[in-house]
Amino acid sequence: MEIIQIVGLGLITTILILVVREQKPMFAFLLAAFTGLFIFLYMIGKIETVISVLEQLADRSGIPSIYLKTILKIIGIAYIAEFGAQIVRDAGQESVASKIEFAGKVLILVMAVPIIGVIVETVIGLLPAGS
Amino acid sequence: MLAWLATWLKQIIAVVLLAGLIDLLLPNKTMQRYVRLVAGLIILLTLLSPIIRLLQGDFDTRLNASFENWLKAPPSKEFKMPTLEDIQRDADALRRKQEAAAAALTEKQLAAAMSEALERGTGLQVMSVSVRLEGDGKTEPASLQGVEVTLDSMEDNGAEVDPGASDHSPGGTDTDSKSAGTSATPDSNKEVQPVEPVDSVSVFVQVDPDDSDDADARQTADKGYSLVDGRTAEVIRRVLNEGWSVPPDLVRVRIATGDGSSTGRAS
Repeated sequence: MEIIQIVGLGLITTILILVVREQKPMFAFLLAAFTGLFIFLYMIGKIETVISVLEQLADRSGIPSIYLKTILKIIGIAYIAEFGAQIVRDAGQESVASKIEFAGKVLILVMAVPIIGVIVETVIGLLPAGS
Repeated sequence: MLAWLATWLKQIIAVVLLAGLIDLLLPNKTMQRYVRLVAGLIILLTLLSPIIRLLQGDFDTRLNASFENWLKAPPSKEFKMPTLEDIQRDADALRRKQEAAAAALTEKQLAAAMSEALERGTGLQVMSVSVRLEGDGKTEPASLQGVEVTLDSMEDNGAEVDPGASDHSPGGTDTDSKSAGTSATPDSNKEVQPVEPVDSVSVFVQVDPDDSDDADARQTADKGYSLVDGRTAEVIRRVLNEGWSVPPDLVRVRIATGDGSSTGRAS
């Protein structure tokens, strides 16, 4: 039961942070950041199974692999941006965190550019045929 | 037909499932709208794929190509963080450039000031003055390495000033009427008389063997110029020495001969 380990780790970290924060706020922040990083890396291994299932699904249904690649990239960008933003937000830098989130949004939207290109071309090609 | 319909439906179902899964996987709500947009576009593309294939033939390769383009583009235009060595090299280059510019500016202004002072002090027609400075300007101040005064070929027969000049007329200057610089007439009026332009001046100079020891080194003057020694050069050197404390042996005086054929030195 990994969830118990994770929750236990989180509880211990929280108590430690509460103890340490009075004396050294810097160490409290470092502790929080490290714990977040640890849980993130620990869970990335679990996400891998989900991703492999998704790949099997895509394979069997015959959708182009480029779709799956794009979607996985989007998930990765979202996770990493969110994680970094939360660490920065813990340190009290709200503005920097919002910039990180902004960068994540922009990169996700850039992912859509090739798809939008194909759709727009199709629609434009459709119009003279209809008239 | 039915098989094609089956694959199409399977694709749509798979893509919708995929979109639902990534909606679940998303970490927070702020990203959700953007991810939903992209997922919706992918679903739309899957729904439209028969129409696109009908209209444009093979669109998969085009999509693949554009995706590959997009995926490959970032490394090519990736912003490269400069290393410390790069920054230091750039800084060195910039500093060198700046020092060179400062030195050039100094030389230019010095030359302009010298030229003005020479024209005012001696009444000669100074065509150009070039100053050479050397030194990095950082550890020690830049030192004067040479001054080259180029006199205009149009000699003025104006006032030869510098009253403290020793009045020995240089030996062996056979010049025609208005060439070879300062005629040694110590006329005392200091006003510069207007100069009538002279088309070509030929300078006939006999070389005095006495002072040819260092003059031979200077014999390698540019074509079209001839070195000037003797009285004129002495006056010029004195002016430069008094004004800027230029050592006299660093001053090189030459005169632009009109046609570049006659080379010689007034001694």
